[in-house]
Amino acid sequence: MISLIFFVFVGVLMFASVFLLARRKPRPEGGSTALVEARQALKALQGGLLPVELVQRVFAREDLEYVRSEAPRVRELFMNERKNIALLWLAQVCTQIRSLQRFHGGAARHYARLNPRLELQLAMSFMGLLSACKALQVVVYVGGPYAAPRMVGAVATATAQACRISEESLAFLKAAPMGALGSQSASL
Amino acid sequence: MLASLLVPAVGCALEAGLLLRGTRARLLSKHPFFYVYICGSLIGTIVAVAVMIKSPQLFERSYWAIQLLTLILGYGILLEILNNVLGPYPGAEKFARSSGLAAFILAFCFAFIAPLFFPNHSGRAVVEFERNLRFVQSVFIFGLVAVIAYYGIPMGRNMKGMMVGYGLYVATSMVSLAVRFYAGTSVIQMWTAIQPLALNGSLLIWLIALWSYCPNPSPDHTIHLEQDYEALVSRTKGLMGAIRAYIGKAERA
Repeated sequence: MISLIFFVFVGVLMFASVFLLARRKPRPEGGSTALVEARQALKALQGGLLPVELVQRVFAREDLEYVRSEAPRVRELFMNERKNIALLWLAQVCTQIRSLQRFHGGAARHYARLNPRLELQLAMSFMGLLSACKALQVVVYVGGPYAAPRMVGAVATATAQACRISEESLAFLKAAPMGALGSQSASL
Repeated sequence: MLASLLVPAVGCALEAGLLLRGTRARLLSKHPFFYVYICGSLIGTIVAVAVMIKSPQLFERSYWAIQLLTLILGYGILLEILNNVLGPYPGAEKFARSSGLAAFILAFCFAFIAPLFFPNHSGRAVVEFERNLRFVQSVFIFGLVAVIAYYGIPMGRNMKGMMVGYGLYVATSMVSLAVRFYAGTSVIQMWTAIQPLALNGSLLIWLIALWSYCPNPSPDHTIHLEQDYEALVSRTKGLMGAIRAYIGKAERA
Protein backbone atom coordinates (compact mmCIF):
# COMPACT_ATOMS: atom_id res chain seq x y z
CA MET A 1 0.00 0.00 0.00
CA ILE A 2 2.83 2.36 0.88
CA SER A 3 4.51 1.77 -2.49
CA LEU A 4 1.19 2.43 -4.27
CA ILE A 5 0.77 5.73 -2.39
CA PHE A 6 4.39 6.64 -3.21
CA PHE A 7 4.01 6.02 -6.94
CA VAL A 8 0.67 7.81 -7.08
CA PHE A 9 2.27 10.78 -5.31
CA VAL A 10 5.16 10.82 -7.80
CA GLY A 11 2.66 10.58 -10.65
CA VAL A 12 0.64 13.51 -9.33
CA LEU A 13 3.86 15.52 -8.93
CA MET A 14 4.73 14.75 -12.55
CA PHE A 15 1.28 15.81 -13.77
CA ALA A 16 1.52 19.08 -11.85
CA SER A 17 5.04 19.89 -13.09
CA VAL A 18 4.19 19.10 -16.71
CA PHE A 19 0.98 21.13 -16.45
CA LEU A 20 2.88 24.12 -15.03
CA LEU A 21 5.49 23.77 -17.77
CA ALA A 22 2.76 23.84 -20.43
CA ARG A 23 1.25 27.00 -18.95
CA ARG A 24 4.56 28.77 -18.37
CA LYS A 25 4.80 32.13 -20.08
CA PRO A 26 8.19 32.67 -21.68
CA ARG A 27 10.30 35.43 -20.18
CA PRO A 28 11.84 37.79 -22.75
CA GLU A 29 15.46 37.02 -23.55
CA GLY A 30 17.77 39.96 -23.05
CA GLY A 31 20.80 40.55 -20.81
CA SER A 32 20.26 44.32 -20.38
CA THR A 33 16.74 44.00 -18.96
CA ALA A 34 17.84 41.30 -16.56
CA LEU A 35 20.86 43.39 -15.50
CA VAL A 36 18.71 46.42 -14.75
CA GLU A 37 16.26 44.32 -12.74
CA ALA A 38 19.05 42.67 -10.77
CA ARG A 39 20.70 46.01 -9.99
CA GLN A 40 17.40 47.37 -8.81
CA ALA A 41 16.85 44.27 -6.69
CA LEU A 42 20.29 44.62 -5.07
CA LYS A 43 19.74 48.31 -4.47
CA ALA A 44 16.31 47.65 -2.96
CA LEU A 45 17.61 44.90 -0.68
CA GLN A 46 20.81 46.72 0.29
CA GLY A 47 19.47 50.20 0.78
CA GLY A 48 15.79 49.77 1.40
CA LEU A 49 14.68 46.47 2.89
CA LEU A 50 17.40 44.78 4.90
CA PRO A 51 18.98 47.58 7.00
CA VAL A 52 18.72 46.76 10.70
CA GLU A 53 16.99 50.01 11.57
CA LEU A 54 14.12 49.36 9.15
CA VAL A 55 13.55 45.76 10.22
CA GLN A 56 13.68 46.71 13.90
CA ARG A 57 11.31 49.59 13.24
CA VAL A 58 8.74 47.37 11.54
CA PHE A 59 8.82 44.63 14.17
CA ALA A 60 9.53 46.75 17.27
CA ARG A 61 7.57 45.62 20.30
CA GLU A 62 8.16 48.99 22.01
CA ASP A 63 5.53 50.55 19.74
CA LEU A 64 3.00 47.91 20.77
CA GLU A 65 3.80 48.42 24.46
CA TYR A 66 3.42 52.18 24.04
CA VAL A 67 0.03 51.86 22.35
CA ARG A 68 -1.14 49.39 25.03
CA SER A 69 -0.18 51.71 27.83
CA GLU A 70 -0.96 55.12 26.38
CA ALA A 71 -3.70 54.59 23.79
CA PRO A 72 -5.39 51.20 24.19
CA ARG A 73 -8.40 52.29 22.17
CA VAL A 74 -6.39 52.43 18.95
CA ARG A 75 -4.62 49.11 19.58
CA GLU A 76 -6.64 47.21 16.99
CA LEU A 77 -6.07 49.89 14.33
CA PHE A 78 -2.36 49.94 15.17
CA MET A 79 -2.10 46.14 14.88
CA ASN A 80 -3.86 46.13 11.50
CA GLU A 81 -1.68 48.89 10.08
CA ARG A 82 1.54 47.35 11.39
CA LYS A 83 0.51 43.96 10.03
CA ASN A 84 -0.05 45.50 6.60
CA ILE A 85 3.39 47.12 6.70
CA ALA A 86 5.02 43.82 7.74
CA LEU A 87 3.24 41.95 4.94
CA LEU A 88 4.28 44.60 2.43
CA TRP A 89 7.89 44.35 3.60
CA LEU A 90 7.85 40.56 3.26
CA ALA A 91 6.27 40.75 -0.19
CA GLN A 92 8.97 43.19 -1.33
CA VAL A 93 11.76 40.99 0.07
CA CYS A 94 10.28 37.97 -1.75
CA THR A 95 10.00 39.90 -5.02
CA GLN A 96 13.60 41.16 -4.86
CA ILE A 97 14.98 37.73 -3.94
CA ARG A 98 13.07 36.20 -6.85
CA SER A 99 14.49 38.88 -9.12
CA LEU A 100 18.05 38.05 -7.97
CA GLN A 101 17.44 34.36 -8.41
CA ARG A 102 16.08 34.92 -11.93
CA PHE A 103 19.08 37.01 -12.83
CA HIS A 104 21.50 34.45 -11.43
CA GLY A 105 19.77 31.67 -13.34
CA GLY A 106 19.71 33.71 -16.53
CA ALA A 107 23.47 34.38 -16.30
CA ALA A 108 24.70 31.06 -14.87
CA ARG A 109 23.00 28.94 -17.51
CA HIS A 110 25.45 30.20 -20.15
CA TYR A 111 28.68 29.36 -18.29
CA ALA A 112 30.20 25.96 -18.99
CA ARG A 113 32.45 26.25 -15.91
CA LEU A 114 29.44 26.31 -13.62
CA ASN A 115 29.86 24.25 -10.45
CA PRO A 116 26.86 21.88 -10.12
CA ARG A 117 27.34 21.39 -6.37
CA LEU A 118 27.32 25.11 -5.68
CA GLU A 119 24.43 25.65 -8.03
CA LEU A 120 22.42 23.03 -6.17
CA GLN A 121 23.28 24.66 -2.85
CA LEU A 122 22.27 28.04 -4.20
CA ALA A 123 19.03 26.68 -5.62
CA MET A 124 18.19 25.05 -2.26
CA SER A 125 19.03 28.31 -0.48
CA PHE A 126 16.82 30.37 -2.76
CA MET A 127 13.95 27.88 -2.46
CA GLY A 128 14.35 27.70 1.31
CA LEU A 129 14.45 31.46 1.57
CA LEU A 130 11.36 31.97 -0.54
CA SER A 131 9.52 29.24 1.38
CA ALA A 132 10.49 30.87 4.68
CA CYS A 133 9.23 34.24 3.38
CA LYS A 134 5.93 32.68 2.37
CA ALA A 135 5.60 30.89 5.70
CA LEU A 136 6.34 34.12 7.54
CA GLN A 137 3.69 35.88 5.48
CA VAL A 138 1.14 33.30 6.58
CA VAL A 139 2.21 33.57 10.21
CA VAL A 140 2.06 37.38 10.17
CA TYR A 141 -1.30 37.32 8.37
CA VAL A 142 -2.80 34.97 10.93
CA GLY A 143 -0.98 35.96 14.12
CA GLY A 144 -0.02 39.58 13.56
CA PRO A 145 3.38 41.27 13.13
CA TYR A 146 4.74 40.16 16.51
CA ALA A 147 3.85 36.49 16.17
CA ALA A 148 7.23 35.19 15.03
CA PRO A 149 10.23 37.42 15.82
CA ARG A 150 12.68 34.53 15.52
CA MET A 151 11.42 33.69 12.06
CA VAL A 152 12.28 37.22 10.97
CA GLY A 153 15.86 36.60 12.09
CA ALA A 154 15.87 33.23 10.35
CA VAL A 155 14.78 34.82 7.06
CA ALA A 156 17.61 37.34 7.32
CA THR A 157 20.10 34.52 8.10
CA ALA A 158 18.94 32.55 5.08
CA THR A 159 19.34 35.66 2.91
CA ALA A 160 22.96 35.99 4.06
CA GLN A 161 23.59 32.31 3.32
CA ALA A 162 22.19 32.65 -0.20
CA CYS A 163 24.40 35.69 -0.81
CA ARG A 164 27.48 33.85 0.55
CA ILE A 165 26.89 30.84 -1.71
CA SER A 166 26.13 33.15 -4.62
CA GLU A 167 29.52 34.84 -4.08
CA GLU A 168 31.23 31.43 -4.14
CA SER A 169 29.34 30.37 -7.23
CA LEU A 170 30.31 33.53 -9.10
CA ALA A 171 33.99 33.39 -8.12
CA PHE A 172 35.09 32.26 -11.61
CA LEU A 173 33.77 35.52 -13.05
CA LYS A 174 36.41 37.60 -11.24
CA ALA A 175 38.66 39.55 -13.60
CA ALA A 176 42.34 38.53 -13.86
CA PRO A 177 44.60 40.72 -11.68
CA MET A 178 45.88 43.68 -13.75
CA GLY A 179 49.34 43.57 -12.03
CA ALA A 180 50.32 40.31 -13.77
CA LEU A 181 49.30 41.67 -17.17
CA GLY A 182 51.19 44.93 -16.57
CA SER A 183 54.50 43.14 -15.72
CA GLN A 184 54.15 40.86 -18.76
CA SER A 185 53.66 43.80 -21.14
CA ALA A 186 56.67 45.59 -19.58
CA SER A 187 58.92 42.56 -20.20
CA LEU A 188 57.84 42.50 -23.86
CA MET B 1 -12.30 -8.39 -30.50
CA LEU B 2 -13.06 -5.30 -32.58
CA ALA B 3 -13.38 -3.16 -29.46
CA SER B 4 -9.95 -4.29 -28.21
CA LEU B 5 -8.42 -3.41 -31.61
CA LEU B 6 -9.90 0.09 -31.69
CA VAL B 7 -7.41 1.72 -29.31
CA PRO B 8 -4.27 0.31 -31.01
CA ALA B 9 -5.77 1.14 -34.42
CA VAL B 10 -6.21 4.78 -33.42
CA GLY B 11 -2.67 4.76 -32.03
CA CYS B 12 -1.28 3.41 -35.31
CA ALA B 13 -3.16 6.07 -37.27
CA LEU B 14 -1.76 8.82 -35.07
CA GLU B 15 1.78 7.43 -35.32
CA ALA B 16 1.51 7.18 -39.10
CA GLY B 17 0.18 10.74 -39.18
CA LEU B 18 3.13 11.91 -37.08
CA LEU B 19 5.65 10.24 -39.39
CA LEU B 20 3.92 11.61 -42.49
CA ARG B 21 3.74 15.10 -41.10
CA GLY B 22 7.34 14.87 -39.91
CA THR B 23 8.43 13.98 -43.44
CA ARG B 24 6.50 16.83 -45.04
CA ALA B 25 7.61 19.43 -42.47
CA ARG B 26 11.23 18.12 -42.63
CA LEU B 27 11.30 17.40 -38.93
CA LEU B 28 12.79 13.88 -39.18
CA SER B 29 16.35 15.16 -39.39
CA LYS B 30 15.76 17.77 -36.66
CA HIS B 31 14.41 15.29 -34.07
CA PRO B 32 15.77 11.89 -35.16
CA PHE B 33 15.54 10.15 -31.77
CA PHE B 34 11.92 11.15 -31.37
CA TYR B 35 10.92 9.78 -34.76
CA VAL B 36 12.88 6.57 -34.12
CA TYR B 37 10.69 6.14 -31.06
CA ILE B 38 7.51 6.79 -33.05
CA CYS B 39 8.62 4.36 -35.75
CA GLY B 40 9.49 1.71 -33.15
CA SER B 41 6.16 2.21 -31.40
CA LEU B 42 4.25 1.89 -34.69
CA ILE B 43 6.04 -1.32 -35.67
CA GLY B 44 5.62 -2.67 -32.14
CA THR B 45 1.88 -2.00 -32.17
CA ILE B 46 1.43 -3.67 -35.56
CA VAL B 47 3.42 -6.73 -34.41
CA ALA B 48 1.46 -6.91 -31.12
CA VAL B 49 -1.91 -6.77 -32.94
CA ALA B 50 -0.78 -9.41 -35.45
CA VAL B 51 0.32 -11.74 -32.63
CA MET B 52 -2.94 -11.11 -30.78
CA ILE B 53 -4.96 -12.17 -33.82
CA LYS B 54 -2.79 -15.11 -34.91
CA SER B 55 -1.68 -16.56 -31.57
CA PRO B 56 -3.35 -15.15 -28.44
CA GLN B 57 -1.29 -17.45 -26.18
CA LEU B 58 1.92 -15.69 -27.16
CA PHE B 59 0.39 -12.25 -26.90
CA GLU B 60 1.22 -11.49 -23.26
CA ARG B 61 4.91 -12.43 -23.62
CA SER B 62 5.34 -10.46 -26.84
CA TYR B 63 3.42 -7.47 -25.39
CA TRP B 64 5.88 -7.05 -22.52
CA ALA B 65 8.92 -7.47 -24.79
CA ILE B 66 7.58 -4.77 -27.15
CA GLN B 67 6.67 -2.57 -24.21
CA LEU B 68 10.19 -2.73 -22.78
CA LEU B 69 11.74 -2.07 -26.18
CA THR B 70 9.67 1.06 -26.72
CA LEU B 71 10.43 2.12 -23.15
CA ILE B 72 14.15 2.01 -23.90
CA LEU B 73 13.59 3.91 -27.17
CA GLY B 74 11.68 6.50 -25.12
CA TYR B 75 14.93 7.61 -23.52
CA GLY B 76 15.72 9.04 -26.94
CA ILE B 77 12.97 11.60 -26.39
CA LEU B 78 14.69 12.73 -23.20
CA LEU B 79 17.95 12.99 -25.12
CA GLU B 80 16.20 15.14 -27.76
CA ILE B 81 14.96 17.49 -25.08
CA LEU B 82 18.39 17.65 -23.44
CA ASN B 83 20.13 18.43 -26.75
CA ASN B 84 17.61 20.84 -28.22
CA VAL B 85 16.46 22.74 -25.13
CA LEU B 86 19.58 22.77 -22.96
CA GLY B 87 22.22 22.53 -25.70
CA PRO B 88 22.53 26.33 -26.20
CA TYR B 89 22.98 26.80 -22.44
CA PRO B 90 26.18 24.96 -21.41
CA GLY B 91 25.83 25.83 -17.71
CA ALA B 92 22.28 24.55 -17.43
CA GLU B 93 23.14 21.49 -19.53
CA LYS B 94 26.09 20.67 -17.27
CA PHE B 95 23.88 21.03 -14.20
CA ALA B 96 21.16 18.86 -15.76
CA ARG B 97 23.63 16.11 -16.73
CA SER B 98 25.23 16.06 -13.25
CA SER B 99 21.98 16.07 -11.31
CA GLY B 100 20.41 13.69 -13.86
CA LEU B 101 23.25 11.22 -13.33
CA ALA B 102 22.88 11.48 -9.55
CA ALA B 103 19.12 11.03 -9.77
CA PHE B 104 19.54 8.09 -12.17
CA ILE B 105 21.92 6.31 -9.78
CA LEU B 106 19.52 6.84 -6.85
CA ALA B 107 16.51 5.74 -8.83
CA PHE B 108 18.40 2.75 -10.26
CA CYS B 109 19.34 1.62 -6.75
CA PHE B 110 15.74 1.97 -5.63
CA ALA B 111 14.26 0.28 -8.67
CA PHE B 112 16.65 -2.59 -9.27
CA ILE B 113 19.01 -3.20 -6.37
CA ALA B 114 16.47 -2.96 -3.52
CA PRO B 115 14.30 -5.78 -5.00
CA LEU B 116 17.40 -8.03 -4.92
CA PHE B 117 17.32 -7.74 -1.14
CA PHE B 118 13.52 -7.72 -0.92
CA PRO B 119 12.50 -10.02 -3.79
CA ASN B 120 8.93 -10.33 -5.02
CA HIS B 121 7.91 -13.84 -6.06
CA SER B 122 4.28 -13.05 -6.78
CA GLY B 123 4.63 -13.63 -10.56
CA ARG B 124 3.94 -10.00 -11.33
CA ALA B 125 7.62 -9.26 -11.74
CA VAL B 126 7.24 -7.87 -15.27
CA VAL B 127 4.65 -5.31 -14.14
CA GLU B 128 6.94 -4.30 -11.28
CA PHE B 129 9.94 -4.10 -13.62
CA GLU B 130 8.20 -1.79 -16.08
CA ARG B 131 6.80 0.29 -13.21
CA ASN B 132 10.31 0.79 -11.85
CA LEU B 133 11.67 1.74 -15.26
CA ARG B 134 8.89 4.31 -15.63
CA PHE B 135 9.79 5.65 -12.22
CA VAL B 136 13.39 6.20 -13.35
CA GLN B 137 12.08 8.03 -16.43
CA SER B 138 9.82 10.14 -14.20
CA VAL B 139 12.81 11.18 -12.12
CA PHE B 140 14.66 12.23 -15.28
CA ILE B 141 11.72 14.20 -16.63
CA PHE B 142 11.07 15.88 -13.30
CA GLY B 143 14.75 16.86 -13.09
CA LEU B 144 14.64 18.32 -16.62
CA VAL B 145 11.49 20.30 -15.83
CA ALA B 146 13.09 21.63 -12.63
CA VAL B 147 16.26 22.76 -14.45
CA ILE B 148 14.26 24.39 -17.27
CA ALA B 149 12.02 26.21 -14.78
CA TYR B 150 14.87 27.27 -12.45
CA TYR B 151 17.06 28.68 -15.23
CA GLY B 152 14.11 30.21 -17.07
CA ILE B 153 15.01 28.49 -20.34
CA PRO B 154 12.52 29.28 -23.10
CA MET B 155 11.01 26.45 -25.13
CA GLY B 156 9.38 26.46 -28.54
CA ARG B 157 6.13 24.69 -29.33
CA ASN B 158 7.83 21.54 -30.62
CA MET B 159 9.92 20.89 -27.52
CA LYS B 160 7.20 21.91 -25.10
CA GLY B 161 4.74 19.53 -26.75
CA MET B 162 7.31 16.73 -26.77
CA MET B 163 7.98 17.17 -23.07
CA VAL B 164 4.34 17.56 -22.03
CA GLY B 165 3.22 14.57 -24.09
CA TYR B 166 5.93 12.23 -22.87
CA GLY B 167 5.66 13.42 -19.29
CA LEU B 168 1.91 12.72 -19.23
CA TYR B 169 2.39 9.29 -20.77
CA VAL B 170 5.15 8.27 -18.37
CA ALA B 171 3.24 9.52 -15.31
CA THR B 172 0.02 7.76 -16.35
CA SER B 173 1.86 4.53 -17.15
CA MET B 174 3.67 4.53 -13.83
CA VAL B 175 0.47 5.07 -11.84
CA SER B 176 -1.54 2.47 -13.78
CA LEU B 177 1.26 -0.09 -13.43
CA ALA B 178 1.50 0.64 -9.70
CA VAL B 179 -2.25 0.03 -9.34
CA ARG B 180 -2.07 -3.16 -11.42
CA PHE B 181 0.85 -4.44 -9.36
CA TYR B 182 -0.94 -3.67 -6.09
CA ALA B 183 -4.35 -5.03 -7.08
CA GLY B 184 -3.06 -8.08 -8.97
CA THR B 185 -5.65 -10.18 -10.82
CA SER B 186 -8.54 -8.40 -9.18
CA VAL B 187 -7.79 -5.18 -11.04
CA ILE B 188 -10.66 -4.00 -13.18
CA GLN B 189 -10.30 -3.92 -16.94
CA MET B 190 -10.22 -0.12 -17.01
CA TRP B 191 -6.74 0.03 -15.50
CA THR B 192 -5.27 -2.23 -18.20
CA ALA B 193 -6.66 0.08 -20.90
CA ILE B 194 -5.34 3.29 -19.36
CA GLN B 195 -1.77 2.91 -20.64
CA PRO B 196 -2.70 2.55 -24.35
CA LEU B 197 -5.23 5.38 -24.01
CA ALA B 198 -2.58 7.59 -22.42
CA LEU B 199 -0.24 6.81 -25.33
CA ASN B 200 -2.94 7.87 -27.80
CA GLY B 201 -3.42 11.11 -25.86
CA SER B 202 0.32 11.81 -26.02
CA LEU B 203 0.40 11.02 -29.73
CA LEU B 204 -2.37 13.56 -30.30
CA ILE B 205 -0.44 16.19 -28.30
CA TRP B 206 2.68 15.46 -30.37
CA LEU B 207 0.79 15.63 -33.65
CA ILE B 208 -0.50 19.10 -32.77
CA ALA B 209 2.78 20.38 -31.31
CA LEU B 210 4.94 18.99 -34.13
CA TRP B 211 2.67 19.92 -37.01
CA SER B 212 5.28 22.36 -38.23
CA TYR B 213 8.80 23.33 -37.26
CA CYS B 214 8.91 25.80 -34.38
CA PRO B 215 12.45 26.29 -33.05
CA ASN B 216 13.34 27.29 -29.51
CA PRO B 217 14.12 30.99 -29.00
CA SER B 218 17.85 31.44 -29.41
CA PRO B 219 19.80 32.86 -26.47
CA ASP B 220 21.03 36.41 -26.73
CA HIS B 221 24.86 36.43 -26.69
CA THR B 222 25.35 39.99 -28.01
CA ILE B 223 25.42 41.67 -24.59
CA HIS B 224 28.91 41.82 -23.04
CA LEU B 225 27.66 40.31 -19.84
CA GLU B 226 31.04 39.83 -18.15
CA GLN B 227 31.84 43.54 -17.84
CA ASP B 228 28.52 44.52 -16.31
CA TYR B 229 28.43 41.32 -14.30
CA GLU B 230 31.70 42.10 -12.54
CA ALA B 231 30.15 45.36 -11.36
CA LEU B 232 27.16 43.38 -10.16
CA VAL B 233 29.39 40.92 -8.31
CA SER B 234 31.21 43.75 -6.50
CA ARG B 235 27.84 45.19 -5.45
CA THR B 236 26.73 41.74 -4.27
CA LYS B 237 29.85 41.51 -2.14
CA GLY B 238 29.01 44.89 -0.63
CA LEU B 239 25.51 43.65 0.11
CA MET B 240 26.87 40.51 1.72
CA GLY B 241 29.03 42.61 4.01
CA ALA B 242 26.01 44.65 5.05
CA ILE B 243 23.92 41.51 5.62
CA ARG B 244 26.65 39.86 7.71
CA ALA B 245 26.90 43.01 9.84
CA TYR B 246 23.11 42.99 10.24
CA ILE B 247 23.14 39.35 11.35
CA GLY B 248 25.86 40.13 13.86
CA LYS B 249 23.84 43.00 15.36
CA ALA B 250 20.66 40.94 15.48
CA GLU B 251 22.42 38.06 17.22
CA ARG B 252 23.96 40.41 19.80
CA ALA B 253 20.53 41.99 20.40
